[in-house]
Amino acid sequence: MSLSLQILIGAILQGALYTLGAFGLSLVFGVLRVLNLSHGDFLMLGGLLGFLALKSFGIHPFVSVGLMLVFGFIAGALYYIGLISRIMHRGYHEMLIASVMITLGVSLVIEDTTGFLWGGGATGIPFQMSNVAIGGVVFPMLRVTLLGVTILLTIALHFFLSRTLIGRAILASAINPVGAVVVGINTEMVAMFTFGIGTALAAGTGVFYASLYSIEPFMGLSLTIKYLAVIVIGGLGSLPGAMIGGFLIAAAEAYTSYFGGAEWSPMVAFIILILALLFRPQGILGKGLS
Amino acid sequence: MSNAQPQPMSALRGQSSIGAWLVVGALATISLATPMVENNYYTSFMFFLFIAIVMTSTYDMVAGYTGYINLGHGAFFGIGAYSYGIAISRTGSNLLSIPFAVLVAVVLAGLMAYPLFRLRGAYFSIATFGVLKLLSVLALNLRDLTGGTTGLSITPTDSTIPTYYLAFVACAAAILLNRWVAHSWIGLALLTIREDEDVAGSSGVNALFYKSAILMLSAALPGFVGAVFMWQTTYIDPDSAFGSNVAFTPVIMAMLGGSGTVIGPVIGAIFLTFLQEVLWSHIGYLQLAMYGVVLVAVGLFMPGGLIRNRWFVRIYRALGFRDHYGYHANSLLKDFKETKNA
Amino acid sequence: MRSLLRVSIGLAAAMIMSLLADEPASAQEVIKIGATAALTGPYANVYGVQGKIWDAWTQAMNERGGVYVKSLDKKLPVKIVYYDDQGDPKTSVKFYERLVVEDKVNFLLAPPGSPIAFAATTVAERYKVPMILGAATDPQIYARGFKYIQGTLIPAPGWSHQFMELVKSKKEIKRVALLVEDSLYSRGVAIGIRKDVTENGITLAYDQTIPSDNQDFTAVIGQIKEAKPDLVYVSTFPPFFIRFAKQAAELGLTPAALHCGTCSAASIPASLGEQANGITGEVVWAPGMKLGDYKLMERVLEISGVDPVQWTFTVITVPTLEVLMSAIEKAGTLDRDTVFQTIKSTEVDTTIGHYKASPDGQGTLYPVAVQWEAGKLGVIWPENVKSTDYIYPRK
Repeated sequence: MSLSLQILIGAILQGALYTLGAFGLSLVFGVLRVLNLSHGDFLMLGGLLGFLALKSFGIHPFVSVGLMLVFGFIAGALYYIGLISRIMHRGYHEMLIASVMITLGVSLVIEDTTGFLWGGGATGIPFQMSNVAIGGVVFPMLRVTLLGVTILLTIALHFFLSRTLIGRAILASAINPVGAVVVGINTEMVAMFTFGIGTALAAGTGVFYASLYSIEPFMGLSLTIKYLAVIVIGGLGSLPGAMIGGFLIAAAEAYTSYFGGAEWSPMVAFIILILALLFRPQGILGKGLS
Repeated sequence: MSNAQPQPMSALRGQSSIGAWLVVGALATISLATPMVENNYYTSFMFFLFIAIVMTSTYDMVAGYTGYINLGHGAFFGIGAYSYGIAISRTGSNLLSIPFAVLVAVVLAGLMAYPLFRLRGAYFSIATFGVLKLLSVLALNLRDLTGGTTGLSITPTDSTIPTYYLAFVACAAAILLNRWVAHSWIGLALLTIREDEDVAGSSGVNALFYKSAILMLSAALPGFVGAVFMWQTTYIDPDSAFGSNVAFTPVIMAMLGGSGTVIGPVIGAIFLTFLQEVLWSHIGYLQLAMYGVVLVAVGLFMPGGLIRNRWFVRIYRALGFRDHYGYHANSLLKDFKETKNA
Repeated sequence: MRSLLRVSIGLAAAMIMSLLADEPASAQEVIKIGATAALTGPYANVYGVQGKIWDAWTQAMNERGGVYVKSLDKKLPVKIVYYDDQGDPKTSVKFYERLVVEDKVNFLLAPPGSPIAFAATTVAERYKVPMILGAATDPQIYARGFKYIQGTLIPAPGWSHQFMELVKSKKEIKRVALLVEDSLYSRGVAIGIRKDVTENGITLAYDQTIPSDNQDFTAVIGQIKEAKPDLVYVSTFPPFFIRFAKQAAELGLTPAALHCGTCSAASIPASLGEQANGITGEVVWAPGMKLGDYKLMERVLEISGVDPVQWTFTVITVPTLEVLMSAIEKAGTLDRDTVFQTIKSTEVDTTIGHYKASPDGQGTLYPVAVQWEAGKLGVIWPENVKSTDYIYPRK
C-alpha cells in the first residue's frame, strides 16, 4: 500500500519535471507555430553551465536557476533575431520545413560543439536536500521544491499572459497575428520575447535536471521529443495542458512500470500520444491549430 | 495557404537536351559498372546512396504531393529489414523473404493510413513519429522475435553483387514511380488535396482513399530496400531501424533537394550523401556541427530546396537539363486542360 | 554570372575528385591499423576520447621508433587510421570497408562498443582482414564463429568476476539485488553476475531489466528495498546509474554495498558528492598499476591528457594493441595470416594482466575492482595490484 502511494507521489513529482521542461516548447509552438527542436539542448546547456557555476564559482544551484533563466532568455532572444525571425513571414508549409531544418541544425551545432569543448562525459550537479518522511512515504525535498517552482511558474505565467501588457500582446499575436499588427502590437518584439521565455524555461529546468539526474552533450534531441509528446497530449499552446500532459505521462509510465514491467513504460507515452491525437487532436486543453 | 509560385520552376519546362541524356546515361553506366571492379569501396558507397535515394523519393511521394510530412517513413525501411531477417532465418529463401518484407511494410502503411490521416499538419507528423517510436519499443521488447537490444543477426553470404543491383533497380523504380505519379491523375488528385483538402472533398475527391493509396505505395520500395540492406549488412538493431536519424534523414534530404518535384529528392539525397562522406572522411572534428550549419543555411536561404534555387537552376540548365519532372499546379492543370480540349 | 557558375562547377568537381582521389601505392613504409569509434553521438560519453588515445598511442610508439619487423629487417613506424562512426553500426561498416579498400590498412581494430562491433566484425570476415577487439565483449559477437576476429578483454559476463571473488570472501554478503539496464553490454555483464551469485550460494533477491532512458525509479527502488539486499549490483553506464543512485539516496535505499560495473568514472563523485563513498566498480587500468609495459600506458595518457578512470573503456585499446604489436614482432612479418595465427597462439604480459587467447576467439584479460572513498579511487582487488582494502559496509 505504501509502495503504491510512494509511486503516486513519485509520478506527481516526475510530472512536475516533465511539465517544466515542456512549458517552453509549448509556449513557443502555441504562439509562434515554430517547433523548436533545439529545446532540449538549451536544457542541457543550462544544466552544464549550472554545474560549472557550482564547481568553479561555488554558486548555489537555486541561484543558478535564476542565472540560467536570464542567460536562456538572452540566448533565445538572440537566436530568434538571428535566425527564426527570418522565416516567420513564410507560408505555413514553408515555415514548418524551414523551422525544422534550422532548429535541427542548431541542435546539432550545439551538441557537437559542446561535446567537442567539454569532452562528452556525463556529469551531474552534486546537490542534495534532506528528505521528509511522512507515514512511511518519503518526500524527496528537491523534487518537492521543483513541484513548488512548477506550480508557481504556472501561476506566474498565467498572470503574466493575462494581466500584463506584454503578456496580452503575446496572446493577441498568437490568436490573430494580422489583427495584432493592426492594433499596433510590435509582433516582432513579442515573438522575440516569447522565444526567449521558451529557451529561458528550458535552461532553468536544466539546472534542476542536472541536480536530479545527469547530463551529457548529446541528450538534447531525445528529450525534446519526449516533451513534444507531453505538450501534444496536453494541448499545444496550453500551459495548464502541459501540466496535465506531464502528470499523465509520468503516472502512466510509473504504473506501467510497476504493474506490467518497466520495459513497456516508454511505449505507454507514445500509445497515449497516438490515442490522444486520434480522439482529441487538439489535446486535453488545447484550442486547435488552423 | 498556398505559397507564391517561385519563378525559376517555370524556367524549367521543355525537353532536356541530348547533353542531359548523355549525363544520365553516363551516370547509369557508372552505376552499373562499379561492382565489376574488384574490391571497390564505391560499391558500398553507391549501395547506400541508392538506398538514400529510394527513401527520399518515396518519402516525397507523400510529402511533396499531399503536403503531409510523414516522420515515420523510416519505419517502412526498418520493418522491412526486420521482416526480412526474421523470414530468412526461418525459411532460408530470398524469394519468400523479400516479398514478405515488402508486404509487411505495405500493411503497416495501410494500418497507419486510416487512423492517422484524420489528422492534419503538425499533428499528423507527430503521430507518425509516435508510430516510429512505438515500433522501436516493440523491437526492443519482443526479444524472442527481434533479438531485442542485441539486434537481429543473420549469416553473411556473398551478397554484394545481387544486393547492389537490386538496390540500383529499386532506385530507378523509385524515380520512375515518382514521375509516373507526377503526370497521372493520382498526382492531380493529390495536388488538389494539398491545395485545399476540404474543397477537394466537396469536389468529389475521396481524400482518405488517395492519401492512403499513396502512403501504401510509398511504403513498398522502402520495405524492399530494407530487406536488401539486411541481406547485405546482416545486422539490424532497434536504433538502426527506428531511430531518430532514420526518421529525419529522408525528410531533410527531400527538403534540401526540393520537395514536390521528381528530381529534387534525388538531388537532395545525392548532395547530402556526398556531403556526409566528405565531412566524415576528411575532417576530424566537428563534422556534426558543420552538417548542422548546412541545415541552418538551407532552412534560411533555400526553403524550397536546391531545385528551386536560382543558382542551382543555372548549373542544372548548363548541364543540359530542362525539365525537372516536377509537378506544378499550373502546369499539370494546363496538361489536363489540353487533353480535355484535344 | 558565368564565372560564378564556372567556379561552382569547379568546386563541385573538386569535391568529387577529392572523393575519388586514390593515394599512390607505396612500398610498406608504415604499419597501418584501421578503426572507427563513437566520437560523437549517443555513446560519446563513454568513448568520445578514443581518437585522442589513438593519436597519443601512435605518437608514443613512434617515439620509440615503432615496431621491429624481421622480414623487412627494420623498425617501422605505426599509424592508426580512424573515423568517427557516430555510434551508428551502419556508419561503422561503411568506414571499415573504406579502411580496407581505400586506406589499405594492414590490420583492423574493432570499434569500442559491442553493438557497433557486432556490425563492424562482418567487414573483417567478408574481406578476410584480421580484427582485434578491445572494448567489445558481448559473447554473441564471438558466437557467430567468425574466423578473423580475436578478443582481448574478457567477455562481458566475466567483467565483475574478480569482484565477485572478493564478495565470496566476505561472508556477510548473503543477498544481492541485480538491476540491469536494457542494453547489449549491460545485459551481457548481468548474465555473469547471475552465474557467480548462484554458484557461490548467495541469494539473488531481485533481478530486473529496465529501459535505458527510464527516469522514475520509485517503483524499482521500492521493490529493491523490500528485497533487503546486502549488495545492490547495477549493471549499467554512468548516466543511468547516477539517476538511480540519486533517487535511491532520496528514497532511503542505502545498501551496505553498491556496485556498478562502469562506475569508475570521475563523474560519479562529481555528481553524487558524499554518497559516492563506498561505491565499487571496475576499471581496466588505474594509475599506479605496474604490469606489463606500463610506461607506454603512462606515456599515452600523458600525451593525450585523458583520465584513465573516467574513460576506462577507451584505455583498453592500449593492452589490445600490445597484443597485436607483440604478435607482429614474434611473427617477424606483416603477413596477415601469420600474424593472426600468432595472436591466437601467443601469450603476452600486458599492462592489465596475462593474455592468452582462448580457442573461441574470446579474450582473457580481466579488469580490476576499485572503490571510491572521499573522492579518491583505490584498487581493492586482485591482491597483486591492490592499493587499499575493501571497505564493507559503506560508511
